[in-house]
This record gives sequence, C-alpha cells and structure tokens, in this order.
Amino acid sequence: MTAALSLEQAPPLSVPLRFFLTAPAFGMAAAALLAWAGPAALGTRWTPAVLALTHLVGLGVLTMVMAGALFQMLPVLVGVRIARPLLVGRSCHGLLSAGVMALAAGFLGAGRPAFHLASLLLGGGLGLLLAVVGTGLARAPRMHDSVHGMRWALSGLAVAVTLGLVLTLGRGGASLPLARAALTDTHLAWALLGWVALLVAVVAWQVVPMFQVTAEYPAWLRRGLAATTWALLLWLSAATLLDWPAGPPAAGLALAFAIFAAQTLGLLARRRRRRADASLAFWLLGMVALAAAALAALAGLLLPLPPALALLPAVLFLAGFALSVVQGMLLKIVPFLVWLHLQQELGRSPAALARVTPPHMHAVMPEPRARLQFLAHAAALGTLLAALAVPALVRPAALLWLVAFASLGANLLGAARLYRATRHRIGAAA
Amino acid sequence: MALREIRLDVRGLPPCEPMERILGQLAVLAPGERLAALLSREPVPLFALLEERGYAWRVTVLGPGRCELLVWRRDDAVAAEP
Repeated sequence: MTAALSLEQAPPLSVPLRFFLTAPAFGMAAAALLAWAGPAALGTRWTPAVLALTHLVGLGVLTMVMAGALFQMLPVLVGVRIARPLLVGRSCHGLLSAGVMALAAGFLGAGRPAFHLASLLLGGGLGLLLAVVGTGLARAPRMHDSVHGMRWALSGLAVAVTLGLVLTLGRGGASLPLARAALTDTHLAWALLGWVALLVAVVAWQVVPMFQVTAEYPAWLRRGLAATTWALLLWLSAATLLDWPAGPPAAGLALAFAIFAAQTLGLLARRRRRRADASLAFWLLGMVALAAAALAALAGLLLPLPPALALLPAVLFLAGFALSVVQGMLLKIVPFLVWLHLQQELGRSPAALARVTPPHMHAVMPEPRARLQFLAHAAALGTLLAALAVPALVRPAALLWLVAFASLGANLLGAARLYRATRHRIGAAA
Repeated sequence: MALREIRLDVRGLPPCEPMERILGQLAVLAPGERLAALLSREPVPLFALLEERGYAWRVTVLGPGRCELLVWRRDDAVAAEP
C-alpha cells in the first residue's frame, strides 16, 4: 500500500485561494497604470511605468499564482510536505503583496524608502517561499521529472531574486558591483526564463497530459530542458556581465523554448479528448505566443528591430504566453481543488455523505464564463500587440486588460463562493 | 464467501472523473467484493479520500500510462485476500 497523504499535509483551500484571488487585483492595478500612463509608457523598457508594470505582472500576478499553486499542488500531486502551511502561506502572501506594492511605488517615484521597504518585504516573502518549497522538494517522496524540474525552476527564482535585490538596493542608494544595464538584463533573463518559463514547462509535464488528456511529453525534453536552460542562462549571464557576444546563448534559449512550445502544440493537437474548452484555448494561445516570442527574439538578434517593436518579444512572452498559460491552468486547478477539498470534508462526515453531492468540476467554473474570460484576454492581448505599432491603442488595450482581469477575478470569486456554500451545507448536514 | 472483483477502466478520462467513478463504485460495494480500477496514472489525491472513508488499497504500476488500483473495505477480510 502506498502511504496516504494525511489531510494535514495538504493545506486548507484558503491558502492557495488567497494567492489566486490577489493575482487579478494586481493585474487590474497594472491595467489601470497602463491607462494612466498612456502611449508614452511603452516608449522604451526603461520608463518608470514599464518597470512598475512588468513587476506588477511578473510578481503580483504570475509569481503570486505560482506560489499559491506550489503550496497546494506539491502536497496533492507529488506528496511533498509543506511545514506549517497556514502560517507560512499567509506570511508569504502578505509579504509578497506588500512588497510588490512598495516596489511599484518606488518605480513610480516614491523614492528610496520605498525601494528599501520593497527589498525587505520581497526578500522576506520570496525567501520564505524558496526555503519552504525548496525544503519540501528536497524531501519529496516521489522522484519524477517534475520534482527535478521544479528544483531547477526554484533555483532560477533564487538567482532572479538575488539579482533583483541587488538592483533594488542600488535604487535605494547603494553602489552596484556591475553596470546596472547588464545586471538588469541578467535579472530579466533569470526571472522570465529561469523561473516563469521553466516552471510553466515542468508543471506542464504533469498538468497537460492529466487535464488535457494528451500523451506524455517525450522523455528527452522532460530530462533535458531544465539543465539546458540553466547552462544557457549561465553562459548568457557571463556574456552579458563580461561583455562577450550574447547572441549564441540567447538564440539557444529562444530555440529551447520554441521546441517546448512546438511539442506542447503537437500534444494538444493529438489530444485524446476532442472536446475543446476555454482552458485548451488559453494553452493554445499561450504556446503560439511563446513560439512567436522566441521567433521575435531570434529576429531581434539577427536584424535590428524598429524601435516600436523593441518590446514585442517581452509583450508576447508576458501577456501572450505567461498570462494565457497561467489562466489555462487556473481554469482546471481551481475546480479540481474545490472538488477535492469538498470530498475530504464529506469523508469526515458520514451523515453528510448521503445527503450532499459536491458540485462537479464543470460547475465550479462554468464554461460560458470561462469562454468570456478567454475572449476578453485574447481581445486585450491583440489590442496591446497592435498598440506597439499604433500608440493610440494603448488606452483601449488597458481598458480591455481591466475587463480581462476583472473577468478572471469574478470567475475565481464564484468558485470560492461555491466552495464556501457547499462546505456550509456539509456542515449543516453533519 | 468467495472474493468477487469489480473491474473499472477509467483511463483517458479527465480529472476528476476517474476519482468520481471510483468513489461512486465503492459506495455500492457489497461484502466480499473489491474494486480493481485501471488508471492512466497513480491517483495520489485519491488516497486520502479512501483512507477517510474506511477503505484499504494497493497500487501496482503496470507500465507507462497503466496503473492498477485495488480497493476494499478495511473491515472486509474476504475482499482483503492477496
């Protein structure tokens, strides 16, 4: 018999929900900032608005969701034990949320104290995440490819956070050991590829075959992608910081993730369950955007992109790939967790077991609402991409992003309400 | 009383249907009966639910994409036979 997961091992649903429900709020804040800053915001990647925006999305939305998912999915899927999940989850969430606000305020002109505060809060929150999840992964009972991959991705986050803290201290007045532009490029590469893209890939090994009912990813990709990404990122970092040619490692990274995108699209095209839903649409859009981001980055290496398109790879990556895939995952993970937790509640009460039927996964996030969420997201993405060439479209794009994140928030809130109501009925029947 | 095995193939179904069907079949399990379910992967989240509901189980990985789960009532000596 395989050892069971004790119920204490999986944290209460409130732990991941807290992270998931906060993410759309930061997304809406980013959209409001884009609307306020207008066309001037997207001039270069160095404008205060772009710096605040990328961190509101990268930390406030993406890392927020990934942290919540790690706390919950590691115990449920991999059997990893997280110490003191409620206390650790709440602390990490509080520190991360406050840290993102302080950092955005710093970029938008709140001055050095905001950067000092952001260093403390983000260093504490992300340090806690790294320590707790890292310890859990080190003791993981099931050693499959995703556990190995998650260790690489978490180490990627550790590098990105360390470089981010050095840069933040520099903004707070400390002298930097190296040129700020080179450090920023290195921080960006580790954050986007070593953390976000790598974690998405290693989580995809698990969730794409399971939730989209596809064949498994090929073993060579599952075993090789994380180490290859790390080797290329180390090469790219050395090249950037020491002023060597950075083209070969950058092209290698673009190629590696283009291969991942192509493999995922191939698996999804040959999926055994033919029914298409909003989650599948988010995955397809995300993988097309990842391949396009890789192509745009490669094109940028070979020929100078016009200034208007300098931000194209970043927009395709963050808004097209990462935001799409994260929503595609949430549409499956949240209903699955709601169903699982309600079944656990029912198991504790034989009286309720006969009288309460928990909602099916499809009822937790109904497909028509999920489809609206996808359409709002796709419209926002399309308008933002067009705005790179036609700056007058920046504000309409921002308004569409506001609607898209509000739609995500409303669907998550609906799932949380259904969970609470059913839990209440189980309690009443017990 | 002889042991009777109820067979259930839930491979290729999206979550949470395999677990729902297994729990549904277990609810009507008679004394001396055990469930033999064929799954695409080890159903890790199901184990805690089985434990709470008073079932014992045994998992055998048969190969890539094939895993057999045997489940019986913990207090059923006939169904617990190897």
